[in-house]
Parts: sequence; structure tokens; C-alpha cells
Amino acid sequence: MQTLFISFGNQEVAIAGDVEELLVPLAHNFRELLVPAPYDLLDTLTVRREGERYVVDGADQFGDHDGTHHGTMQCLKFEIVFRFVREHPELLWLHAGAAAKGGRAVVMCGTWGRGKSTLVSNLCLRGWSYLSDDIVPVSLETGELVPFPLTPQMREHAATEDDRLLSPGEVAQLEKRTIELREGQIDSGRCAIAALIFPQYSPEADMRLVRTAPASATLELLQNCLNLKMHRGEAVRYLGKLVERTPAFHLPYRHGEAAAQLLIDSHAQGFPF
Amino acid sequence: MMIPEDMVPVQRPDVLAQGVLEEMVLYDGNSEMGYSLNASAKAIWDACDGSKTVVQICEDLSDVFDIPAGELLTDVRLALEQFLVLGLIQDKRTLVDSEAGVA
Repeated sequence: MQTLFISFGNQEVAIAGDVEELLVPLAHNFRELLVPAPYDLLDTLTVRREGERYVVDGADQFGDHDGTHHGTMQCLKFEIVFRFVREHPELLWLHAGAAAKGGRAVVMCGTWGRGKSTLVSNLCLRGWSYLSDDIVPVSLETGELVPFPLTPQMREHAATEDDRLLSPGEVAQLEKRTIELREGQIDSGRCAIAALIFPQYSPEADMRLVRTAPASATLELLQNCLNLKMHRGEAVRYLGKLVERTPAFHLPYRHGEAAAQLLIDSHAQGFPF
Repeated sequence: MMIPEDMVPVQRPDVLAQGVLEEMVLYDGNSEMGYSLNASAKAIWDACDGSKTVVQICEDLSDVFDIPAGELLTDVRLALEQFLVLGLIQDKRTLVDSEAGVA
């Protein structure tokens, strides 16, 4: 039986099992967080095959997954993340991606399919430091972003042979490609937040940065806060204050490269709107 | 639903209100729903302190927005109706009646 130790803040979640077809991609997804041995083991999840299905013993949040390869991978990912979320109430956990330049991060916040990973990956391909692809913890004490570097992935080519851009639903069917980062490109230190971006990929989008109304920005952050129930009022107050001191924009876009360049230019100018 | 002019709207105590610059976010701890208010809606929300009727709220806001109170009445009623439907405010007259045991 193989065991993976996934570490965050010197605490580990162990995933044990003999189902290589799950553990290999899981190790790939969490490769920047893997450690050879636990320092402070939080929990162990065991994954096994039962007939045509996969079963995750110890799952308490997403135990009712469909047992398919994809469903079990999602279950394991969420179970791992939620153990760290529970263990770190001093952080607000956002469904977001982030990349940084000069120690100042741009946070891409939004639900599945909004194009967060595409923007983060394109920024990293242009030399930015990688912080996170999908989950961004923010310190309630300092306001800094804490890296949670799941392996960055981007969907291949959102355009067809006839050069038609794909709909968000079609894009979701595309295979994800791992973005290979150079040594030292993954940022391990905490980082100030320079801007909050709410991306929206659409083949019809007219790309531009649109200043988000403060209350709407706060509400979007709340909707993407994974541990809102843990903090409730404190989270509302905190995210409101974060929006007050941080420029927030909606970014409709259709070409990831162009949108990343817009972010690079705006970041260099300090997001002057 | 027509909001009566003598209604005395009061914010529900379990709704958390957080000002964000000139706007506001409301978070209802019971339904776990959040709402964003623009500056105008925020002014109406702030006026729902349980001390004023709808007409008095319009008179107060008339000074703030420099618009005759009569012209504000429709918009204020509409906002209050939405607050009421969403369970964010109550009518203080009803609360007083129920506390006093009036059917």
C-alpha cells in the first residue's frame, strides 16, 4: 500500500491505498505539497476499489461521491483541502487562484469555469511567481495571502479548427495541461494582495477591466469563501475591509494571453482606475 | 405587496450589515444569504431603525438626496418591499402588537 503525505503549515493529511490510477494523478496535483514523512499528522484517508467503484474511507464531507475516477479524485481533493481549512481557522479560504510579481499578488476569484487557471497559468508563463491555482488562504491577522500551490494546469486551446472560440461548457470538456514552472518560480512566502480580479471567460467577451462596485466585490468574495460558516460576521467584516483597501475588477475576456498581458500592464501601473 | 405609509420598518437583529465604502453588504445568518446594496439602498437600510414610518423616512431622505419626499415614496416603498420579502426587516408595529399579546 502506498501513502502520500500532503502538507500545509507543517501538518499533514495522509492518503493511503493501492489504487495507482488515483494516487499517481493525486500526487501530481499536490506535488508541491508532498513531504516524505509526516510532522504532525492530522488524518488519514484510505482509498480502495470496491467492484467498479472507488471508496474513500474516512471521507466525511464528500463521502457520497459517485465512485468514478473523476468523482473520487474530486472527493479526495476536497477532503484534503477541508481538513486544512478546519485546522486553520486563522485563515479565510477563498476559491481563487493567484500569481505575484514583485511580492504583490493578483487574486483571481470565482467559481468553476470562470477562467482563473488560464489567467494564473498565462501570468506564470510570462515570469510571474506562482501561488495558487484554485485555493487561496488569506490571513485574518495580516491580510496576506498564503501560498497553496496545487500543480498549475490550464485547458488546451479554447478555439476550434475554424477559429471559433469555445463556449465555457465546451472548454470544460478539454483536457488540462500541466504548466511546467522553472525552479524557484513557486512562491513559498506570504504575499500582499495588489488587486482582486473576478474573471469571466466568454467567447463573446469584450476584454476590459471594469471596476467592481465595493459591495458586489465583497459579496463575490463571500460567495467564494470556503469557511464562511466558520466565521460568518467576522468574514463579512474582514472581506469588506479587504475590498476597501484593494482595487477590485471584473475581467471579461476571451483570449487568456491578452487578458494576462492586460493584468501585467495594470499591475505595473498599480491598477490606476 | 404594498408597503403601508405608516409601517415602521426595523432591521432584523440577526442580519449583519457591513458598510463597504459608500455601499453595504448584508448577511442573513439564518438563510446564509448575502446581499449588496448601492449607496441609495444603503441610505434606506440605515433609516430602518424602528423609529420612523415610511413617510418619515422619505422626509429624512429628501434632505439627503435633495429630492421632494413625495417623489421618493415609490422607490423607498420598492426597496422596503424587497427588504421585507427577503426577511431583512420587520414592521415594528407588528412586533409591538405581538409582544403586547394583541391578535
